[in-house]
Amino acid sequence: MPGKSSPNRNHLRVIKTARTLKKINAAAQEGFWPLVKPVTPSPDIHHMVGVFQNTTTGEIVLSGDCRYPPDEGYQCVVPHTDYYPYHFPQPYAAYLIPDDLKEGEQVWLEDLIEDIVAVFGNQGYHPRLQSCEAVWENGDFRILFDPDKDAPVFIG
Amino acid sequence: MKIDPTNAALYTDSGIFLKILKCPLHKTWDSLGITGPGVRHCDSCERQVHDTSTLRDEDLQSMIRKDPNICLMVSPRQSNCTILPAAMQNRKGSSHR
Repeated sequence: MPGKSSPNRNHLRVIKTARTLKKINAAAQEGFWPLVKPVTPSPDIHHMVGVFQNTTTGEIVLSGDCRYPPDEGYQCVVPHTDYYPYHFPQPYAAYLIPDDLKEGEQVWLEDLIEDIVAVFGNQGYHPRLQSCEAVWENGDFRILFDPDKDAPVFIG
Repeated sequence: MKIDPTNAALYTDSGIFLKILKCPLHKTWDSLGITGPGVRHCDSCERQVHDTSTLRDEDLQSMIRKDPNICLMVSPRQSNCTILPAAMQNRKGSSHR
């Protein structure tokens, strides 16, 4: 999705992410070095939703558009509010570093651990970046993503 | 207009489905040649790609009626498009406005 992931256009080496203790330790046993990082939700990342309820039937409808008032027969029960829409199994994760990764090598982080805003969309749509290019430098990855230049769009 | 980022389905503000915006070649807007205001050219498909940021729902419906395979570009930043939030995406039978 724009807003989610872009393809690995430059066909870079893919760095996998493990998000559970079992998967991290399994990768370590296979020879990868798990570069462990905290999974920290960013307050800059959110979606927005409002909930409207039919005053007769009790059924609800959701709204992601605060331009419009509720339809007749509906009342607002949850005003439009930002929320963090992602869930992760553990508060830690690890990039699985192959033992032949070279200093300065450009790679594709398939499942980004850091919370980076992919695009500052309207109406509270600030999704997290799912994948991106990065450079291996001094034992960590330098993320290569500029939200002004690289923000994804929908084409088709 | 509204778009569901999980499947790139584009709708009118009133919820009428318009089309899926999924370029199989993963083209980026910057990779397309500028041919005029709000229009770029895709060399791979030899087609025009239209920026939708100044279009109304009625314009889109008319353009898609004339050419169901028309190529469009929607940016999450444009003020005339709402992104369906995750709580509303891909929930069979769910309602949204």
